[in-house]
Amino acid sequence: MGKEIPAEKSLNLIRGRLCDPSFIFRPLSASSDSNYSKLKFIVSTSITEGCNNSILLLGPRGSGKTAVLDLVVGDLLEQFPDSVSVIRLNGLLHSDDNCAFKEIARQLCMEHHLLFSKMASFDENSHFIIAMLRECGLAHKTIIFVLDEFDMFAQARILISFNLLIGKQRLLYSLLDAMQSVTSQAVVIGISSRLDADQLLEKRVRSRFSHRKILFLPPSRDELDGLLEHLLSLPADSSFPSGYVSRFNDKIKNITSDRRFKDILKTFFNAHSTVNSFLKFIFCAVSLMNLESGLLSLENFKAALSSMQRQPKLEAVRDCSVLELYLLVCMRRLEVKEQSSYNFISVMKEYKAIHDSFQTSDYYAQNVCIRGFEHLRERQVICYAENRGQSQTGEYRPMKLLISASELHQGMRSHACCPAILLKLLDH
Amino acid sequence: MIECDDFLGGFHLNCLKPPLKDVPKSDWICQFCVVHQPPPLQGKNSVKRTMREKLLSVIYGRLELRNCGNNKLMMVVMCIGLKLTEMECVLRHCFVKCPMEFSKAINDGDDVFLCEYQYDVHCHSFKRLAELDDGDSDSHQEEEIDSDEEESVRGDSKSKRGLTGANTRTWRIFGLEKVGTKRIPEHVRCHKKNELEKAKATLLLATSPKSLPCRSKEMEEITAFIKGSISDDQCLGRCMYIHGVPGTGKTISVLSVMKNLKAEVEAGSVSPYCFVEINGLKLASPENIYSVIYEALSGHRVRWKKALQSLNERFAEGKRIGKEEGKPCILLIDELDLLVTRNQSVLYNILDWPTKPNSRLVVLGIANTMDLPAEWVYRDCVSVAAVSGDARRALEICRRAAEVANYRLKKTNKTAKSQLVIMADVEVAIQEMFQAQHIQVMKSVSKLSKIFLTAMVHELYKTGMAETSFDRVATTVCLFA
Repeated sequence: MGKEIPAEKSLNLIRGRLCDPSFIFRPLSASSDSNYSKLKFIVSTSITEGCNNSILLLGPRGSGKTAVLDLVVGDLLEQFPDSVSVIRLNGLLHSDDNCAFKEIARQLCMEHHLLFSKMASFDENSHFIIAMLRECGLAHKTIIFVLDEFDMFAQARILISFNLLIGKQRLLYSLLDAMQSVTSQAVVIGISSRLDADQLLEKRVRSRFSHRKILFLPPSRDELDGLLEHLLSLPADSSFPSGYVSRFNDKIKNITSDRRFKDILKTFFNAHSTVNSFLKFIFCAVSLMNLESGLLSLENFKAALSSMQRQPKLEAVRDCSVLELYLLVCMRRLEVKEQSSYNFISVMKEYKAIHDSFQTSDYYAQNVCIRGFEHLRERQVICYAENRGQSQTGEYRPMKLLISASELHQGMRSHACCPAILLKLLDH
Repeated sequence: MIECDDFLGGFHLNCLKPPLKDVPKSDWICQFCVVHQPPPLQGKNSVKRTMREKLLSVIYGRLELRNCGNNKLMMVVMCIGLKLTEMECVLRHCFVKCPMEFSKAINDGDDVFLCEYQYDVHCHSFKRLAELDDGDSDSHQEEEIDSDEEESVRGDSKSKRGLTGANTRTWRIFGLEKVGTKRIPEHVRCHKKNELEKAKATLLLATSPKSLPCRSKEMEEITAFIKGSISDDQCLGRCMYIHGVPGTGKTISVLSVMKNLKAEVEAGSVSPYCFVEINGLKLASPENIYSVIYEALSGHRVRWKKALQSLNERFAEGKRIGKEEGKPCILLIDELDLLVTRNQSVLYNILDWPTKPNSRLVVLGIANTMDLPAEWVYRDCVSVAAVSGDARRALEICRRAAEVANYRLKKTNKTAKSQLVIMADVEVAIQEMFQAQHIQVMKSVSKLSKIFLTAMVHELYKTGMAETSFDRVATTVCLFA
């Protein structure tokens, strides 16, 4: 195989780090005020004191809730090897109560090496869970329930026709109610990206829920700078050639202290605030690394930023032919005239009307226009308005625009050879 | 002793008819083999047999090998055995095994007996084990079967009764101690708690106080109501409806009243009763309440239609179920409003039964809503309202404040002489728990998002409508940016 180029090795190393949540969130969680320490304190005191607790982790998507929780659970499993067992449920998969109880029973059986029967009914499963909670409570074992997508559990709809209530939240009620008995030791941790997840709970369930919430806010600029250094500096390993590491790290320092780089970051943070999007940006930049020199450069970051700012619809309009632009303008004019649904035939009528009133040079036959339509549909600039009515031929089916007026404007203005008359037509 | 040369069985010399004094030198065949007949089997109306006769019949019975299904050979004791009532066929040490072990014990001889009954502590009666398995198959039929694979599995599971999963009912009765967890006594796991932790432990929602403060009036009312109902000679059924916002102590008051009454029953001052506790939210469907009540009264598990029939007979006509001694029945239904069905038959039945004569049923319903339809409430009901605030909330706030104080003291490593929870801790706790998180999030979000929010508010003021389309907001954003 031969010697691996150091550039490739360093690329692999950095990309590996970017995809590993524990590597990223450990330095962010180092301070004692961080969410990590708060969560760890609550759960570890519940374990040592043998009491029940319920917590909600809230925050926008990509802010590291699951990553921090995994860190905490990993640490606790190391610290208390025999007294903790973890049950994981996901609101997208197990929002139905029957399914959720079955899954909890299955995981409990797996943890304790018991035989699981798929045919147990709902009642049996719920009795089993309560009995297990009691037994584990007596043996001083804590069960941690992790409920991902917590708002889905709160909103689950029961499709039973005779039951007037929608969303009984039976799982949450049973768990929280079981925790009120003395001998059980359980911690329920809910993760949600809806900030008002606890307002979704029914009043009975909310009354039993201990309103502990941990909010995951985006990290500050200093923390992110520190994270950037931590991610991109190569370790002084012997697996890399000696001068390479120092050159690489020096280049990184040069880049980060450059004013232009700070501008790039500022533009980036105008639009994105979560840790996840930041990581995507870095990943993109690192992947553009020049493999010959093996060093990162400022251009990589610039290219990454522009790739994150792409606008696909605009580019689609820019690539359209002139005929297609005509068709789009006709459709827009029909919309402005408050014609709620239109199809190909009406667009052709409008096209003829324009041609008659303005004597444009671009007038094409019907079959050429149909081809133009198909092309637009493939690019997803327009589409059929409804999915039914398949029996009608394409020409009579109602259509609609998938881009807004301003996007069309912008696209036409930046088009290479858009006739001026079209812009005038669009404005009227 | 002498041995018969035919079947090699042994006899005491004195026990033979006629008794022999010495062992004959030639071959000796016992009288039964000579006649080629097995000893006559005694029927049910036999006189008491001597030990010797029993022994002989047992020995002969041993020779009967029967081929029962599944290619299993079972040695059948053809004696008084199968029609047996009691201990007459037990001659020496024998083994009684449960079904799982019995099927493995084919070669252990004829002293192995199958125990088909098990004592259920809760209903103080013996129940056949097969009945428990049948209960499973009933409830299977109630569930929907989604795939064909599950149907074939169901057929298999009925035949192999020996292997049932830990989460099924049978396992529950055999006990989950097989989990292998041991009980750790209380004193081992308590580390030395500092003051704050002790305070926290008492503030847990789970620890029940020795006496419930502030609910003594309600508890007295409930106690008087129940005592009045069960101590009449002709116990008239009545129902009581307890309502209030969550967290006001309804369930816990009723449970402590029942605890006190139980103590009185044991002391002998109140006549015994049967107490059934049901939670509406824990039932799979409202109709299941019938099977739960029936199971609590009789110990047998049946489908709800049959249970409804039997309960109707019991309450409407006064017929007894099983071995019941005519005790009055107190039914506590938590979360009553969840029993509402489309035609409201369940609630109607439950609240109707106490009104019939001879029903001996007292119903206590607990709910949050005060607006159950009037037609239910007028039936001889007494309501107890509790409108004060949520006690659970208050307890949780105190607990969290104690936690915050603990954390603060731990962080600064102070070992203060008096570890007090100060007002700042309480305020932090309240803010954490009940403040909306939106403001904090909005402060830290990206600039574009802030512009977007501002544009939406701008649109709101411009048009006066709370809803707007993305297009309009986008144009406003472009204007701002």
